[in-house]
Amino acid sequence: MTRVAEAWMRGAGPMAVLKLLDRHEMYGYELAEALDRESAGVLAMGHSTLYPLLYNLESKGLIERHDRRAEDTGRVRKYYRVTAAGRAWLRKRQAEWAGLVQAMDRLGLA
Amino acid sequence: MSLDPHDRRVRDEMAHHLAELQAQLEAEGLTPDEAREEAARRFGDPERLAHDTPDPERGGRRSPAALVDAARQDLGFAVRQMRRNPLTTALVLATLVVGVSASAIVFAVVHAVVLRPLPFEEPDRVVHVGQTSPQGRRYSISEPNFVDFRARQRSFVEMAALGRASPILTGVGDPESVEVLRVSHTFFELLGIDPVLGRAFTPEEDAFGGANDVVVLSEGAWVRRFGGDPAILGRSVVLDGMAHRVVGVAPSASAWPAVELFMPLAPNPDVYRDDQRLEAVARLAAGVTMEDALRDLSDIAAQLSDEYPESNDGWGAFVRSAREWRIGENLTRLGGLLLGAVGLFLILTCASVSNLLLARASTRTREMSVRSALGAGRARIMGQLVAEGALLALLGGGLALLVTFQGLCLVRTLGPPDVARLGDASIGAPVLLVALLASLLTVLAAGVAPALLVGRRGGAGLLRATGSAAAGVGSGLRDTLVVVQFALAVTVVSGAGLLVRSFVELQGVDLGFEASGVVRFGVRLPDDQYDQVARQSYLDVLHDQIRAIPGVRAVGMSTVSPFGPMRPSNFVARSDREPDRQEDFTPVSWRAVTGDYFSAVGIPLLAGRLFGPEDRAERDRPVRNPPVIIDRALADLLWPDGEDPVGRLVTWFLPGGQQCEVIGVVASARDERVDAEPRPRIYRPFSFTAWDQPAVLVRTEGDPGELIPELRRVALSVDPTVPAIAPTPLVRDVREIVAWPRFSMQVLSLFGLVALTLAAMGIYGVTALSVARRRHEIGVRVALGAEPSGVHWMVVRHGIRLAGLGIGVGVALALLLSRFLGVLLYDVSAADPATFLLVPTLLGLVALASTWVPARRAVRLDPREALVSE
Repeated sequence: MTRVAEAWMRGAGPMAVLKLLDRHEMYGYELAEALDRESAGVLAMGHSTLYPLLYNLESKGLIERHDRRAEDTGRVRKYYRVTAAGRAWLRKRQAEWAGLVQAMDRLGLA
Repeated sequence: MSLDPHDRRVRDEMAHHLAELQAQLEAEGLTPDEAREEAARRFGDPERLAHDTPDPERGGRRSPAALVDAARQDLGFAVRQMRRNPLTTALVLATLVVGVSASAIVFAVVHAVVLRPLPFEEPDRVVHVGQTSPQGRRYSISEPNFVDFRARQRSFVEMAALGRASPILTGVGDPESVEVLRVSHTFFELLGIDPVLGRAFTPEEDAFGGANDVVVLSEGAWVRRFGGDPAILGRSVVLDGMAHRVVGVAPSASAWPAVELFMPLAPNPDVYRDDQRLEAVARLAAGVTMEDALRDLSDIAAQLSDEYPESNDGWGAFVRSAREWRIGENLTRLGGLLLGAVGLFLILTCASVSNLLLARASTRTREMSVRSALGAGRARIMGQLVAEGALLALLGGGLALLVTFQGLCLVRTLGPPDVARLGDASIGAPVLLVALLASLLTVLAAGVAPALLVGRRGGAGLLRATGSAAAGVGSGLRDTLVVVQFALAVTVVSGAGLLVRSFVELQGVDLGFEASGVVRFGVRLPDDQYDQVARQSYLDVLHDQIRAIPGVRAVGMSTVSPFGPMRPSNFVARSDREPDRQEDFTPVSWRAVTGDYFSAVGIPLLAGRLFGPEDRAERDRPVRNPPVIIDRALADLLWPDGEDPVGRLVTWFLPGGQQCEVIGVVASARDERVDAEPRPRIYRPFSFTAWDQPAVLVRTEGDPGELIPELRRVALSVDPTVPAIAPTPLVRDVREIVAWPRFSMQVLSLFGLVALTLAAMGIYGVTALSVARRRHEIGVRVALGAEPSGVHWMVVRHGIRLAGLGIGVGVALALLLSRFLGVLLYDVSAADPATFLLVPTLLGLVALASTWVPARRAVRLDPREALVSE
C-alpha cells in the first residue's frame, strides 16, 4: 500500500496514535511498530515524525507519560497513555471523520 | 551535557528507541555491529530531534538554559553540516575569501589614498592657489608674487608657500640627497599640523636673510636617520655643507609622505617675478567660498598685471580644493571606478554563495520540512540556518582578513610608488567593518533564500519529495542567480578588457626616444658652492670621466630627466611676427641640455645641427642670438606651412625678450606624459642656465644596471661631496610612469578572472541540478533510442539560455558603465567593438564548457538506473 499524502497524515496521524494508546499504554518504539503493522504501512511513521507528535499531544494534555521498568530488559521505558481529555478529543474527531467519509461517499469518492 | 531536563528526557527516549531498533535488527539476523550501524543509519541524528521538540511542561517555550543550549547545539550542528558537505563548504569559503578579501584590499587602498580626509584641520577649508597664464593654464607662483598676494588678500585666514629642494645630507651615514619642503612659517599652523616635538618656524627664521639655518624633521626621518633620539632638538644637521639646527619634529601622517625635512622658505622679494617655483596653500576665512576667494585673487592678479606688465601681463589666478591638488581628479576617478568594481564584485560573490547554499538547501528540504511539519517552527529553522550562515561568515570573513593582510603587504611593496598614502593602506577599523559586513551580509542574504523557500512552500508539501523533486526546489531562484552571475561577469570582464586594451596601447606608444640602455642620475651643485663657471667645469670633468668608462657611448646633461617630477615651462614666439602681447606666445616645455644629450637619450636630429662647443655661452663672450633647438611639434606649430625653421629667430619668454636662433630640429619626445601628445619643446644649451641640480644621462652598450656602481664611484672621485643621486635605468622610469594604468588593469583583470570562475561554477551547478531533476525523463528518452547529441542539447539548452540572457544584460550594463572608464582609457573607445565582441564570446564559451561535463554525464546515463532509482 502506498503511503498517503502529508495532508491526510496530519489529520489521521494523531487520531491513529490516540486510538492505539486507548487500547493500552505503549512506549515509543512499540507504538511505531503497531502503527505500521495495524495500518498495513499506510500510516507508518518514522521516529522523527512520531516523537514530536507524541510530545505535541502531551503538551495539549491529550496523553500523559510515566516511567516503568521493563520486565524483560530491566530498562526504564517511557510509556504513554490516553487521558480523559484525549478520549473526549478522540470521540469528537471520530464523529467528524465518519461524517467526512459519508460525504465523500455521496460524492462517489469513497 | 544538556542542563535542560526536557532535553535530557528526549535524549533518553531517543537512546532507548535506538536500542530497541538495534535489538530488533539483531533478532532479524544481523550481527551486533551490523545492527548498530544499520540502526544508526536509519535513525539519523538524534541530536536534531531532541533539539527541535517543544517541552510540553512549558507549553513549548524554552527555559533560558535551554536557549543557551539551543544556540550551542545550533553551532554544533552547523559544524557537523559543514563536515558532511566538504565540497560545498570549501566552495562557499573559497568564494567568500576571494570575494571579501579582494573587496577589502581594494577598499583599504582606495580608503587610504582617496577617501580619507587629508591630514589637515578642517581640510575642506584648505585650498591650493596659484597663477594662470594668459592662455588659462595653471602655473606655480613666484616668490615676489606670493608676497604680494599674501599682503593684499582678504579671503584667507592665512597663506603659506611651499618649494621643493633636494639638498645633500652629510654627517649621518653616506652623503645622500633628501627631499625637503621649504615652507612659510605659517605652513604648519595653517594646516593645523602640530609638531610632535619642539616647534614650527618663527617669522624671523622665515625672513629672507634672517636666521634660516633651522630645520623641522619629519617623524619618519627622525626615527629612520636619527634613531628617534629624544634629545634631537638643538642637534645639528648638515645640508649642502651648511649646519642647520633641529627645532622641531613634524608628525609623519602628512600629505607629503616622501618629505624628510622642512626648511624655512625665506622668500626672496627680488627674485624674478616670473620665476614660478612655489606652490601656495591658504585657509579660507569663515564664510568665504572658493568663488569669493577666486574673485579676490583675480583682482589682485589684475593689479599686478598693471604694476608689472613685463612679467604679469595677462596672468590671472586659480583657487582649487586641497583635495583636488593632493589627490587629483584622476586618482579620485580611479578610486571611484575601483569601488564600483568592488560593489559589483560583492554582489557577484553574494550571488555565487547564494547559489551554492541553495544547492545544498535543496538536498536538505526534506530534513527541514520534517522539522517544520512537526512544530519546529519557522523561527527555529531560521535560527539554525542563521547559525550555519554566521559560522560560514565568521570563518570566511576571518580567512578573508588573513588574505587581505597579506594582500595589502603585497600592494604596499608592488604598488605604484608615487602614490601618496599608499603605504598607509592597512586593515584599520573601516576595512575591518567592510570585510565583516560583507561576509555577514553575503552569507545571510544567501542563507535566507533557502529558509524562505521552506517557509513559502510549507514543510509538509516537501516531506515526501523524491530525489528529483527535491532537486527542483529553488530552481527558479538559482536560475535567476546564474543570470545575475553572468551579467556581472560580463560587466567586470569587459571593464578589464578595456583597461587591458588601453594598457597595451600605452605600452606600444612610440616615445620618440630610446630608453633602453640608459642610466640617469642627478648631481647637486648648490649656488653657494658652485658658480656658473665652476659648475660648467665640474660637468666637463664628470662628462669626460664617465665617457671614458668602457661601454659608454654618450653622456648628456639636462635640466630635468625624462619623466622626472618637474616639467619646466616657458613661452616662445616667432620673432618676425613681432610679438607684443603675452597672448602671442606659445606655451612650451623647455630643457637646457648639453650637445650629447640627444644621442644619450636617442632623440634623432631631423634638420640643422645639435649644440656644439661653439654654442657655449661664456661670460665674457656674449652671443648675439643664442642658439636653440626646437622639436618637430614646435616647428609645425610656428611654421605650419612647412618652411624650414633652421636659421630663423624666435623670441624667448616675453615681448622684448631675448631673440634666439633656431639651429636644429629634433624629433618630438614623449618624456613628460605617455598618455598625451607631447607639448612643443625648445632646447637651450646647458650653459645658459643656472640650474643647480642637473640630470646626467648615460647611454651604455651593456646592461645599464651594471653600470651604476661604477657611476657612483666616478661621481665621488670628481667631488667627494657630490654623490650620484638615485642612479636608475631609464626603462624603470618608463615602467613607473604607467604604474597606475598597470595597477588598475591588473586589479580589474584579477576581478574578471574570478568573476569568470564564479559564473562558470554557477552554470555548472544549475546544469548538474537540471540533470538530476530530469534523470527519469532522460532515462526514458535514452531508453527510447534518443540520439546522444539530442540528449546533450536538451541538457545544455537550459543553461545556455540562462547564460545568453545574462550575457545580454551584462553587455548592456557594461556599455552603460564603461562611460565612466572613458577618462582612464588611452586610445580606446569606451564602447570598443573588439572588447564587446570578444567578452561575450568568451563568456559564451565558458558557459558551453561548464555545461559540458553534466551533459556528458546525462548522455552516458544508464536508462535502467535512471528509471529504477525513483
